[in-house]
Amino acid sequence: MSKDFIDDKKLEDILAQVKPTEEKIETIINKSLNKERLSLEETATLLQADKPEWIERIFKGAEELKNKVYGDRIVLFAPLYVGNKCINNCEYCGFKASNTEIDRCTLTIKELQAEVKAMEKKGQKRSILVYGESPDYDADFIAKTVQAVYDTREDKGEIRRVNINAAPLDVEGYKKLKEVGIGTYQIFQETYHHETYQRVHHSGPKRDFKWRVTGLDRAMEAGIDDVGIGVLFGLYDWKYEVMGLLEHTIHLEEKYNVGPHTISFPRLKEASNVSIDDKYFVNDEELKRIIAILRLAVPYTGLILTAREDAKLRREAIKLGVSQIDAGTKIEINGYSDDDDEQDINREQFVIGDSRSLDDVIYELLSDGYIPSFCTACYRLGRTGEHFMEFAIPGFIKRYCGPNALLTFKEYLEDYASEKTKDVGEKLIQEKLAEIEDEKTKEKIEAKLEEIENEKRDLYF
Amino acid sequence: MKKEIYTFKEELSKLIDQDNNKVWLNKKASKRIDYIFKVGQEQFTSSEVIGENDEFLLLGQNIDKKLKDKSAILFNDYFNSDKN
Repeated sequence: MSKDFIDDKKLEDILAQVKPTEEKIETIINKSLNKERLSLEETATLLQADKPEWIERIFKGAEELKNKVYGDRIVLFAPLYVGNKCINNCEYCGFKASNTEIDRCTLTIKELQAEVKAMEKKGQKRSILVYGESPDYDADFIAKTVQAVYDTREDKGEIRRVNINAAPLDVEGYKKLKEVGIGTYQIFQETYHHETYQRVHHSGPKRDFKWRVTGLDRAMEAGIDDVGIGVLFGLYDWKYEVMGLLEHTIHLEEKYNVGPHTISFPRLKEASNVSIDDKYFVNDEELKRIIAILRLAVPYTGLILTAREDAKLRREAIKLGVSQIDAGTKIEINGYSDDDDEQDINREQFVIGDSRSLDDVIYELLSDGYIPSFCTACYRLGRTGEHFMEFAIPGFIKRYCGPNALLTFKEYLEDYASEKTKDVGEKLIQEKLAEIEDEKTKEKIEAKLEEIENEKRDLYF
Repeated sequence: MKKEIYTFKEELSKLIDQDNNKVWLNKKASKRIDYIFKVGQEQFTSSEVIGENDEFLLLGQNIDKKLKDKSAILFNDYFNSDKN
């Protein structure tokens, strides 16, 4: 069994010992702009850089790096809550076992299919299935629900990538999920600080820090090389938690030769029957610093900002390094097939901040010059894990990610967009095509776009 | 030689020009395919299917007909031999 690799004292000592200077910050940002992952010491230096002018420099560096690596694409997805039964008692969570006010339910396969069809009707192509921790949600159950999502099609709609957010499994469990072709397996440690972890996880299997922190090691051992990590900011000092995320990344890289595919950084939010000390709550400015520093620390790791945050903050944060957002999000069980847009806190894990439709979010992204992407090509062509490291080869994004974003976005415009989104979207596609210098590449993309206009779907490079 | 994935890789490596071709073996898993190994370097050309069965998929880039045929024979020998 893997060891607990988080040494609180080591991380705290590094944070205490670094002394930022303008010169050091500049050197670190330049290393990052060279697309190299930063060390714990370098990241700590950025975290301790508290002067306004230093923070501004870090923001600028993160923006530059984001443009270099990800260009103008934003990947879109939507979460789908499958069941909220839970045997854990986590101080911060509305789904905790002791909360008797919440409606407990698990989607039947028929209800799940109805949810998927409702999502597909809006144009969603990528989803993350979310499960509480319960003996009812074992690997067999999760595998069955994944298969049901992949098998459900509504007209031209289909979910092409199913990610998972669930409790840690054993190696045999992960193997079952690998068989059904999951995308990313996501486990958030919530906090990497041992004492805080014990304090906020009162009972249940989640109380075992080591079982959770080594959960993705077991996924890797089962052959799942596509994993996501995360922290619930607000439980402990945010600078320490960023160090924890980086230590987890370094651990996976050193042991399995591949780091996490994504990092998530939700903040504590209001939830049913939850009251929590606000000592470590993260304000908007601090959240932006977290995003910018993570962007610089791990240039090739996807950063996910969810609809917990409001539209204004999401808009500002995207340019600092976010590469994926959810849109058209419903976190209520049966939320997509239920027409009622009102949030019911007794049926949800937390209150969401951005409840706009997928089309409204896309319209705003287009107005800001971003190309929304529903691309799943890498995972359909085996460009994952160690192979995904070719992402670092100059030209990879230009030749694959950019064109594939255009193709999947074109599908959205043809099948689901409102008139106003279609108008702006078609213009943006033409602008992006005009920017492509290589005529051969441009011709290939144009040919595929024409095929999409002629009803062909699921095209990619 | 025993027919294992690593011996397949060894034999495939003998056919491939490391600088000018890329071939990679994958295992099918529903809508995704899982990368197993590659030989050669990224060519930035469209991917094409060289060989396929219910379980595995061999993809290639910048593969001419002669190389494609040879690689397909090797793939079939390893993964479709029951059917041959």
